[in-house]
Amino acid sequence: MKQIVTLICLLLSLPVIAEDKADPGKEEVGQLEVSLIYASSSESARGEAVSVEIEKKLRKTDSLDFAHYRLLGSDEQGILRSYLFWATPVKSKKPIMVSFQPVGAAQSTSIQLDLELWQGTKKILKTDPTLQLKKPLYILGPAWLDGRIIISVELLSLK
Amino acid sequence: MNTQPDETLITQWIDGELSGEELAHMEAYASKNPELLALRAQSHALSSDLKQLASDDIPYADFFTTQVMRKVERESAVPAVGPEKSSFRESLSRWLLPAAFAMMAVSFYLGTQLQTTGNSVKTVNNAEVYTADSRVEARLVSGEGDSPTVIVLTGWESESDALDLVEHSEFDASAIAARHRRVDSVLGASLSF
Repeated sequence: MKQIVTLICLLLSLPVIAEDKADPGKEEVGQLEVSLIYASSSESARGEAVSVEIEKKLRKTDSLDFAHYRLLGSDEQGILRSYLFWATPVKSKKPIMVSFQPVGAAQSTSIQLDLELWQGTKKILKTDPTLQLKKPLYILGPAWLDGRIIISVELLSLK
Repeated sequence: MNTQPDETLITQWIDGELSGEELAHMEAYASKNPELLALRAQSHALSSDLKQLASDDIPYADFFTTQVMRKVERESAVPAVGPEKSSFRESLSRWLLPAAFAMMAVSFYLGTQLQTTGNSVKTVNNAEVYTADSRVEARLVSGEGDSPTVIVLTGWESESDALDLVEHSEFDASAIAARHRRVDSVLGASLSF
């Protein structure tokens, strides 16, 4: 009985011991930026105007072609080698959040991620895109006010 | 000694490590608390089972080989009935395997071509899109060249207050923190490459 209890205690304490040591899984392999953009046909004072570069990228695709784009918020986070992490561009009561975790080793200009889109505690979408540097993945999300919400997921850099 | 025994004493009693006055006290106490007697009985039974398992010589490595050889021997011992006439079971086994492979191939092909929406998997340009809610449909517009890749979602009803900005102090980060803890708790299963 004593041996079993000792063994259980030892097993429970292993994660704590391991955490004290340097964890290569926490190595940052890149930077990811998740943004929420309000796209509408009428002008809005919400958020702030998006940059010319972002607007140019958005207008390249028919399904994202709106008259106006407003940046509601963005969150830049490190991509950890083997850990799941979260980006929350807009802090709200039921925030739209994106979780991400590398699927394999990063290439020179791209990385494949397990990516999930959440609203509060509800999962909306799961996908595994290979993101290219400076080539964002756009998700045309829910209707909001007079327009739609666009979730932008962009790989900013790789190490 | 009329005091209630502590956990250490109870554990020692269950393990049979008590003697003298302590043992007498525990036995007297247990006689008035039958749940302790039941606990000791369970512990002894468990210990006995564990010892039995440890002492058994289980031929794991040869287990399946042994089972297969026994099966072969039994089959060999059965005399053949009729010169060429095969049973329904034998006929079945002849076409069942190829049929299973054919079904798997068809399923795989259909899986790669799947374009239906809502709670399903899509395969376009090696990216899979899965909507957790069957009411939400997804369409993937692949970005060739400089064009961005777009996932168009329909049927996702955002709640009215979902995007209303709140003060930082009001931001409920508990859901996020809970998930972070959950992730931390399964770090052993995280990717390693």
